[in-house]
Amino acid sequence: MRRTALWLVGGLATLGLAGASYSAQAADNDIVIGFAIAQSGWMTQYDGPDSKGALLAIDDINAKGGVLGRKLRAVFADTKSDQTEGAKAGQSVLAQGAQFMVVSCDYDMGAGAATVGNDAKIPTFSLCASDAKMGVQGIGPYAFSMNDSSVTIGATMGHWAATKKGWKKAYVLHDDTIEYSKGICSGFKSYFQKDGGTIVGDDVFKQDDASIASQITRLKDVTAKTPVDFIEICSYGGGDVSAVKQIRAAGIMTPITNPDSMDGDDWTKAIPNLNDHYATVQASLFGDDPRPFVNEYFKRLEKVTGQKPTSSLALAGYSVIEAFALAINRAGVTDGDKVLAELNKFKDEPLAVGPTSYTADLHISLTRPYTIVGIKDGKGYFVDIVGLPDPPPMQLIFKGQ
Amino acid sequence: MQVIIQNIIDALSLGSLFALTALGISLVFGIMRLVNFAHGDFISLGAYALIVPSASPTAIMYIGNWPALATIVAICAILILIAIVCERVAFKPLRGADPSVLMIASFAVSYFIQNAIIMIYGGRSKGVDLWPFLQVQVPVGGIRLQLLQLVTIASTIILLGLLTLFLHKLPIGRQMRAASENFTMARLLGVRANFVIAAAFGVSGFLAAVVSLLYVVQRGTLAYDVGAPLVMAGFVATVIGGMGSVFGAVLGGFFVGITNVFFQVMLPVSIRADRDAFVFAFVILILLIRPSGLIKVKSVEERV
Repeated sequence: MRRTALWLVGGLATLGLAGASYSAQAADNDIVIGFAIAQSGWMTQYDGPDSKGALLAIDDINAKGGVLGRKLRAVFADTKSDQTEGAKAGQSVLAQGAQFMVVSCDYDMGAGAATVGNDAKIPTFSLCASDAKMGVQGIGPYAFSMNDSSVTIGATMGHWAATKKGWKKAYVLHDDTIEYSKGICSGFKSYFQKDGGTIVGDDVFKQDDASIASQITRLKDVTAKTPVDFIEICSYGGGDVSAVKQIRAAGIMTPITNPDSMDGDDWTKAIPNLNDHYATVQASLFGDDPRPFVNEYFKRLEKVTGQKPTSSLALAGYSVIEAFALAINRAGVTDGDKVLAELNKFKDEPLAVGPTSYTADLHISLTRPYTIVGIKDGKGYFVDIVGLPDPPPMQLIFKGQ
Repeated sequence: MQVIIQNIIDALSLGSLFALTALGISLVFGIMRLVNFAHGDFISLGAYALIVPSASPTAIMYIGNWPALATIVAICAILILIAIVCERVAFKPLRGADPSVLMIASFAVSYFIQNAIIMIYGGRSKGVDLWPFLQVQVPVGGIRLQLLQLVTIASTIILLGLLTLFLHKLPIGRQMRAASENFTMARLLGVRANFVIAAAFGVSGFLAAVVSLLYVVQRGTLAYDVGAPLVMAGFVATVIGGMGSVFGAVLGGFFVGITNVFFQVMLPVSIRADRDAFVFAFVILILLIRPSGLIKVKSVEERV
């Protein structure tokens, strides 16, 4: 008797829950986009502003009537800046009904969730990973990145230096701690030399090196014999800022170039009166970008986050949602495969981040123009927008380094 | 010729930083048999104490803007206090436990401090400019050397001298050496355990403060794990130099620094990225030849 009663209660409860969730989903006509990103830990400095930008895009699109007459809705799961938590976060947003996924701004950090999205056959975008492995050849056919490949970012600096600045001789300082900087350096070297430049000297340091005094001693020695036009540093984070500081502290005033890891000008507090520093970034954060949408956007972002954005990669977050909306509208349905087919047909689509193209074999940008910004007296300013005439060599993009 | 002298100064300067870090680790190990991995986080805290606590990406100097002497005194005081508090809260309850347990506890303290920094100051690294007057090049006998490097080397030599005097001439120093040699016997002879251990942590906090200041001037950026590479090198230096020996720690520190610079300078660029592999291979070689380290300390040696 008791057992029957228990079964009855259990059965009713299950039916009740199923009924409740069914009615919830039936009432819920929204298109759900799952954000499996870092909401705590060190990765938030990249995922935070970018995802806030994506939410701005969702607001803008919903204000215009949404997609296919339905509203876009975001659900979240925290990867806690941990690679293994990434997969859990991916599962979590799927459980919350995500039909499309957005993952962290980094291949290693986003791979866990991206693999889950790919296995579930839903289009998955990394906010701004610059590794082509966040794509068909790596994660799988449903994975995309909104950024350019790091090889392209490095190549753009080499191209600008050789063709726009007329700089012919470079010294390269390479931090090989992560794949990103390896890609930057390989792209820079290949394109700079293709454009007629010469790499006079080459040295290596590590992100955590307590001091790069030996590297600077060698740099001084080599450039005393053969003066260089500029020094390219392929690095990121605190190690990169420290390298710039130590180079200037040693009395070396040669122009320094850096990739998009050195965006903004907050970090210049470390180096008094910094001049002659250039970086390839997504857009100018300093209110002087020639594209009015960009300046507007960063102002909006500052209002929403309460802080000036520290990386223009935040623009990519907006474009991820733009891309989803475009593809879903063209497909006419939210079915993963049909939306994927539309994404793969993208040809120079005018997204906020620039003209964007994808094919069935390539889910990252290889020639989309990047912006050059400079630093003068510690303040940043817009210099130029540079696009590569042709893509960098394919074996560099997929080297797997 | 200039390049060779510059390389030597680079090596000595890097070695000095490692030596000072190793000193702090070695002092505590000598008395408590505790390898304090949180020492690197003391260094990080010393660096962060210079700025206004805030999660903003731009660091605003506060204590760092005071007159140099005031900054030094303040940071030393803060770190001595933090070190003693850590000892009271985390390590005192575990006193007498296996050294491996103490080491795990120090990892826990380290993890706690790192995440506290992320919570209060944010996860993003911040740029700071401390004492730019140390960044100038000074002419020394026809060669231009960086003032900061000379100050680092001089500080290490002076502090080593002061520490030796402290350990040998002052009563508290003698008590620390006695406790290091045989803790139980020292207590039986009237050495107060709490006082001696607190003193050891206090001195190691002071040394962490000195390293922290020198490192911030050079590196110019604060990150939640800014002290981590130093403590790794310091730990290796302590082991090579001979665990429990203060002089050995300094010797080990210079050894690691010099080896680092040697391989950075001599390796061809194609394998220079693997410099650390060579450095550690050399470390292994030394340990194979002298397992107890360069300076053997009898009280630490395993006796069959």
